[in-house]
Amino acid sequence: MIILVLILIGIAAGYALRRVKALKNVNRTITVTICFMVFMLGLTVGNNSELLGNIGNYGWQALLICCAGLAGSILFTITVNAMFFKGNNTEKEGGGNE
Amino acid sequence: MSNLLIPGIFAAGCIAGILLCGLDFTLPDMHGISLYVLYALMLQVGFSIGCGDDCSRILRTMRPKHLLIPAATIAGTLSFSAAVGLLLSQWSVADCLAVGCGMGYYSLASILIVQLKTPSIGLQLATELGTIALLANIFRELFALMGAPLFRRYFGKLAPISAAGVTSVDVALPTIMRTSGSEMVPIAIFHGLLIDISVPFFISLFCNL
Repeated sequence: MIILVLILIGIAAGYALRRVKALKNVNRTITVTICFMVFMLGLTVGNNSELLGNIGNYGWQALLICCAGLAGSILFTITVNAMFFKGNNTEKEGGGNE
Repeated sequence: MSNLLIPGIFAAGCIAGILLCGLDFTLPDMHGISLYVLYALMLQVGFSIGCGDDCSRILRTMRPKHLLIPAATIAGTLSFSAAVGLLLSQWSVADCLAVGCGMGYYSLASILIVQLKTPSIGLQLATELGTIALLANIFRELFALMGAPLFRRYFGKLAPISAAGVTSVDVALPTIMRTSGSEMVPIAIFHGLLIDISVPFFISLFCNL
């Protein structure tokens, strides 16, 4: 909950201050913050021998969830494409009969 | 090159952790420290969305039906991740949904999951789930980049955008432009921005279920 409130405050503040050039560097500070947190995550994983020994096990679970998400999103998008975007987004190659 | 930055830093962290483990050094309470860093990160993410140049310009060119594309990406990802949740006995459906709904945003997804799940399932399990989230979302980005031409060929112009998830606004955008055409770029940015906003929302939702 706090997280969502913080994002909304951030969006409002960012929109209000969008003309301030120096604040465009926020993407750089995000990268630095994320790097710091990912390093901490790595540190926690590396420091935990039980977790590290099971990394292959997590790998295939991750692969499974990833492929499922990928397949699902593509399938739903094909449906949306066929139902609502026929004419402007569909393949044009089929019409080359001249 | 920046694609390798986060996995590289994760690997560096792992190596540092292994070395510290070898030295018999116990880590201090990371959860407390990184929670405040996470709050700072969320503020910055919101800020960058708010002050982005593209935001208002892209929004003007979009029509209501374009909302269906991110909606399809989210609905498809969530329903199929839930199905995997039924297969994996170790994790609940909500856990798999939390991992899946990262939609390629691996850095944020893994960090958020570790933070939000630690109070309920403990640091050990939360870190395991966070690691799965990191790997699953790195895989998604990789597949989005490498598979784009195939997705375009067999599933249409919108498929590379949908496959890319949140990365359709940044990392995968050049690939989408090349495979689906430059007229798809505003849709890809719009799609990525909306998914970007939805990721923290869905992760906190599923972590609290």
